[in-house]
Amino acid sequence: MDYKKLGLRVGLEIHHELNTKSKLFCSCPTLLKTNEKPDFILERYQISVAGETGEIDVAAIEEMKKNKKIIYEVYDDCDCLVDTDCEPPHRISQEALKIALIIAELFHCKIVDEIQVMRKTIVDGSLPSGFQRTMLIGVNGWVETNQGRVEIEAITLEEDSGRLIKKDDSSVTFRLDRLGTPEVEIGTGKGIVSPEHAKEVAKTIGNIIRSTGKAKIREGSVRQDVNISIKNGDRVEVKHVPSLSLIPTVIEKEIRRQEELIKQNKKVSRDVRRVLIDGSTKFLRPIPGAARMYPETDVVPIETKELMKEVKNNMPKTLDEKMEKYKKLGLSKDLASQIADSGYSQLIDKFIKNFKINPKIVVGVFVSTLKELKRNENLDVSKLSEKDFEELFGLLSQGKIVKESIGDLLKDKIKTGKFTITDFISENELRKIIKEIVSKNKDAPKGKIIGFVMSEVRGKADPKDVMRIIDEET
Amino acid sequence: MYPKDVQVKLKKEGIEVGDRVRISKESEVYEGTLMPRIELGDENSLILKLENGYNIGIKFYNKMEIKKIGKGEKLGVIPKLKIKRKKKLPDVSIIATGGTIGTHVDYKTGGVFMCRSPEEILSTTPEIGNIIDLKNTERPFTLASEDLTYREWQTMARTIAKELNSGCRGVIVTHGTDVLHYSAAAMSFMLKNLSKPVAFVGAQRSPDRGSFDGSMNLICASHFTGYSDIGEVCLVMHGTSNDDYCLVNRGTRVRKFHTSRRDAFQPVNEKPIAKIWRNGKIEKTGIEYTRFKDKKVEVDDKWEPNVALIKAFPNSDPSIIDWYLDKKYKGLVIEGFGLGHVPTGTLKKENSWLPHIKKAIDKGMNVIMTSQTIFGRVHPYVYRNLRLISEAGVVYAEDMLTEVALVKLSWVLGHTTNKEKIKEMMLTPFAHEINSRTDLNSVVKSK
Repeated sequence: MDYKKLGLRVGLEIHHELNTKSKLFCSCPTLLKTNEKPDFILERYQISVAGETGEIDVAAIEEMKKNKKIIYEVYDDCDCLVDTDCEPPHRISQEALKIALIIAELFHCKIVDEIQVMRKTIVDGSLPSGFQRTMLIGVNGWVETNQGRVEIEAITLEEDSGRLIKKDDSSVTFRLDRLGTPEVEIGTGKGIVSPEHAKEVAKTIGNIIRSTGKAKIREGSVRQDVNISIKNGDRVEVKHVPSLSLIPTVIEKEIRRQEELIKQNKKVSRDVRRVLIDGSTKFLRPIPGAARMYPETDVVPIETKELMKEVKNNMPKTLDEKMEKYKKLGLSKDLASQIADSGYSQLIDKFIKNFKINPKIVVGVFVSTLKELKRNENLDVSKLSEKDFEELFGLLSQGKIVKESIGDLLKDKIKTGKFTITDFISENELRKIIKEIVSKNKDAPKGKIIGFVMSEVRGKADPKDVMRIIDEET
Repeated sequence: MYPKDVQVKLKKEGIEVGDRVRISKESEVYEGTLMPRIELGDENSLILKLENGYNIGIKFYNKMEIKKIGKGEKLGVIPKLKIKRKKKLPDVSIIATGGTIGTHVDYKTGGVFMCRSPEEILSTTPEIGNIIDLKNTERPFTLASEDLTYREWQTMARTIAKELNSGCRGVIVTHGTDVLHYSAAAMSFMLKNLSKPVAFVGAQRSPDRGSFDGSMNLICASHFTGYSDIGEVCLVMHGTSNDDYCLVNRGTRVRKFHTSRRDAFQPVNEKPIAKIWRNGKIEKTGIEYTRFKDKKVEVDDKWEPNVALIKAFPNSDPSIIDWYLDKKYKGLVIEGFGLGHVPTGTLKKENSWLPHIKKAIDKGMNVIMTSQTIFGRVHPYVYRNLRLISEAGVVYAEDMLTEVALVKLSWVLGHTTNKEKIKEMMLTPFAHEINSRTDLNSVVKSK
């Protein structure tokens, strides 16, 4: 397809949560709830605030008609009065600010002289205040791709909203654990030439953000919105495309949808659409007018000049420097480049540093195990969070599991939310299994036998016992 | 406001705040609307609102290139709202005095203005037009509540009385929250023979946001003033952090307990009179109250301004009392410890408040004792130190709130200078400010 002739324009908005110690405007940790039940429930209503120009926002009207009760699930361990809109914001997290500035630098942005925190009116109830605090960090940057440079129009830092839990005719429920977590939003400008290219750009952007080592990795920590238009059509915003691989399909299908409408002489309306499993989309609401944004006067504007000196001295390692480091750890060049490509390099670096495990095992999990789970079992590996991997490598380094069982454990974790570690089997049982395997594989070398046994017992036996019994039985 | 050199440059280029401008700086070009400088931050940065809605600050230097590319809209214009009257609904007037509930945020600049007309207050809560018929709106003054003085209280009392006596069923007063309970107490004493509902309403969150709490407070205050059989000055504010119901708290029995929560106003030593839901449901708690009657109210706003409040604290220097005496103060409320203690039997004589209190009372000062525990009742006899203080002539103000005692003392001293009469009036309830029975549940409880 000749996308140029089609007049295809694609813009991406990549949202990525940051892994900071505290939320953007309070001292709460950026963790997800740890209790099963909320510590308390808040019930609120939101008013539709009178328009500044006499015009009322289309999106605001849609929501206003509903006048729903908004229910918030609040947790003691990750919420405070700032989250429930009962206290003014605290000083902005300096950690989040510096990470955002680093990211803006990595995208060659022009950093603004003075950052002004804005209140962006949000009418769906996902923020108890009724607005989202957001700020423009840098403009006019670019990112290098295989198809040339793509403009990075703007990089913003904002507070994440609450998680939608359920919705019915009279109420809508949000969970407030995630609320307030800092996230960066990267908006692309010109330069995306095709649906496939859009995917590459999204991936590259994600990798650059994660190269800071400060990106949050957990379910829902990355969100991709795609804006699409063709000649004679109009801009359509597709919210929350769940995976990179779906981006080209979503764009292709939207192109076809718009072409069809144009052929029928129908107008393409400026809609926000949501993605269905097959990459087609469904109408959600009209695109809101220019977001109503006005200064957050409870937060002092931030001069960037001094901060930038510090930021420039603390830039993350470049890819080449990282490759050098991996080579020193005994990893092949190929493996090193797979790490960079996996999007998990920040976690790999951290776990190699923190756990006494062979680096190849850690790398293996991220460059092959996860891929296999995704490809062969069709599992959503994005459900796995940094905390889950931490637990996994913890178990491994304590000898409570063996490396052969990692794939199965992760599978369980995704499906059930838990690592299922069965109790160790008795020595007698273990001996029985080993005897059987040894007798079946009489000519196999010892290493192979160990492998067979370990995959049979899947973490249910201490590797030391396995070795000892094999030695005794062969 | 931008500094002088910026203003000179802007003037030279014919640029006014609100105009669309293009700024070229190094290799970058920015286009947007020039915004007024807010009070915080680097005053040498120009604030530009970009097309995408974000404001950024661009460091000013004299040689920077700034060109006007378009005339801007006027900033800070407040939308006009016309109020439609519904004759069948009860007549209620609104008196707007200022405060967060009466602020207007200019969405373009983010500037907060204290200049909202009552109509603009209504624009956040148009629903109340279906509950009451807004008979009149008055704006006697517009002040943050911390800036109020007794003179404004006198104006307030007269304005409320004028509205009530011209046929209103009730009056809603919108007010800043910091001093809300002081004003409510003042009105409780100044409005003599009141038998109609007067609702004091404020907001802890600003009206620019969807979560504006003043909206529900106004709705509940409309139900209260339009329909309830309560004829007193009450505060109508959130009962919990939810938007479910408001408490109708008596003006002399309530206090601000939190800097920022919606449910900051909670009753002391007494239950609220009622709970009132957004749909108009009223649930009484069973305490006594003055019933609604369609009677004239009188204004009794005589006032003695030379009254002060001091607080006892460890290591305090009691000569502060002498200072007030020298300044010809007529009344002093002491917020003592516990049951009403002040340092009395200190090891060093100069730390004892007793001689200073004695001297002040001898010279004609009226001294009232309340407690910094907030909840509970002061008692002049339990300990010897208490007896010494009360024997010196200090009046122990029972279960009256400190803030209420302060307001009441000024009001009482406006009426008499007779020592015995003052004591008698201070210990006689005029607006339910004293109750000889203390509510069993009167204590702040943690969850």
